[in-house]
Amino acid sequence: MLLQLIISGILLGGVYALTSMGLSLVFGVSKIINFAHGDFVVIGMYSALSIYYVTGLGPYISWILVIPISFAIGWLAFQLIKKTIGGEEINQIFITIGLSMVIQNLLLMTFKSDYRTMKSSFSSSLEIGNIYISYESLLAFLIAVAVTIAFLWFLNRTDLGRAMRAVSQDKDAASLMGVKVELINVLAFGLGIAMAGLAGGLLLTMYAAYPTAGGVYNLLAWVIVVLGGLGQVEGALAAAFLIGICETLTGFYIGPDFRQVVYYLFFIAILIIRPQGLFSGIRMHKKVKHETTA
Amino acid sequence: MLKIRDIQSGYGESKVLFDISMTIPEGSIVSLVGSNAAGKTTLINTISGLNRAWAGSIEFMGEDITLLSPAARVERGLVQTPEGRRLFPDLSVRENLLMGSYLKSVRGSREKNLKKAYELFPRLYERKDQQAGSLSGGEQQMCAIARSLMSCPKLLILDEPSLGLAPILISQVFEIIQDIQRENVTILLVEQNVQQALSLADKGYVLESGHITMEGTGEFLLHDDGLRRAYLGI
Ligand SMILES: Nc1ncnc2c1ncn2[C@@H]1O[C@H](COP(=O)(O)OP(=O)(O)OP(=O)(O)O)[C@@H](O)[C@H]1O
Ligand SMILES: [Mg+2]
Repeated sequence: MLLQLIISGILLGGVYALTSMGLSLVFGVSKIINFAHGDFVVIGMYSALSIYYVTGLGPYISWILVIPISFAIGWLAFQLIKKTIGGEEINQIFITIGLSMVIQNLLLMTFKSDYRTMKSSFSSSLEIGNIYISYESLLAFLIAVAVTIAFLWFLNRTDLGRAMRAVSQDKDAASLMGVKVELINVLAFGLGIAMAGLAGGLLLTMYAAYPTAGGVYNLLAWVIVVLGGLGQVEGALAAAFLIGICETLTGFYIGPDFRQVVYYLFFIAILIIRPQGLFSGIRMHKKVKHETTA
Repeated sequence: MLKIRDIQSGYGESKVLFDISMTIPEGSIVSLVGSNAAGKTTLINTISGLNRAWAGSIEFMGEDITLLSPAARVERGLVQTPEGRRLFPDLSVRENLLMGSYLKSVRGSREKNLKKAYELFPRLYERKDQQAGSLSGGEQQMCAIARSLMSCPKLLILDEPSLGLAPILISQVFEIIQDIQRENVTILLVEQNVQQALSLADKGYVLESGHITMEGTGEFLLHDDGLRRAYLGI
């Protein structure tokens, strides 16, 4: 049973990784503290649902459409938030919390407060020994992994991705190399929201959509990002798997309603024990060592 | 090559630069010296477009660039190596250099420039996969200069490249600057190291509290009694 739960947790973690890497990118590059990130996950869920209602396409195909839709929504949201960049952080927090409420209410008006799920397109599940894996979550996981690989490749191997990392470290120096910082900010934000939306579309294979679900995903994404080390995309990736496994374990041994309590406990514990994030340790050590030998 | 006329600039309400005019002839090394907080960095950031000019005009190779974005200025060959190196600490040395050739206009000469940079600075080649933040101060300055060279500068502005370096490294940096000039790059050198900066300059400007107080050949300024008293303690 334990193995079964860990595997389910990994599958879930793959999808959580998408949304958290997106949040981390937005925080690291655009320097926006986005408390509406989870609501963009939910917008992704409803986008996938709407595509399903209209065309009958399931989340394994509609994700290709959910990405550009979410990117466009992110682009629009950025126009609202961008004035707060570089200003008081409290203003960003207020404006994104406000945005979160607006999104939740718009969803409530449009889709009502019902819990909506998507019918499974598979009648059986994959059986290995005595472990059962639903094709649904397996497919969602594989798509998440593929997009994650593509994203990391983009970030580490392309000029645009490198420019995003450069802007996150020193935007003035980057603009002295000819990088258009404003454009990088909006692209990073759009990309981050696209990943949130994609995660939402894929989560629909495991969880129901309802207008206020954004709260849970906000918390989740922030816990993962803080756990992984603020603004560190790879750290968020590792932390997402930890949280995914943690969630399936609490869900089974304690009860599904305790999910959020466990996130909070994690959050508080990290802030007390390792405020720099669990996974930022290795890199920091390397730096410190060089500094002392220099 | 660069003509600035009556430039004013500052931060918020406080004006830092008062009617600055300068001319930098093509192929020369021009040194801009002045004490702490004189406004040197503010002036070159205005030239690079990071700071807005409140008044006055900037002309680069016959074109008015006063209102252009920093990116458009880099594209035209106006490149700055900022004060304090400002490398991207978590990017590798190689990635830092690649950032120097981010613009499409210079990406074509990327491989060629990379090879030249490694020839000029073999230390950087040895450390190309190391995080830039882990380099020593001297190596960081070399990396910052190499990164600027990746942008194919026509005018290279260096803001206090000798800052925080040991004397032997300082002479090395100044030699490199002269090597770069020999490759047909015009140099604007900002320094507090007045003696060395002026002795290799074709022309020098002295900036004090946001005003140009003296200008002339490097030789002339070095023999000026007032300047010697104020900056060289003689
Ligand atoms: N970002 C900023 N915001 C507000 N004031 C600034 C800013 N940068 C510089 N100043 C002020 O502008 C004045 C000129 O600073 P600047 O950095 O241009 O001097 P500098 O000649 O480059 O000095 P240094 O030799 O120490 O580098 C100083 O009084 C400084 O306090
Ligand atoms: Mg300065």
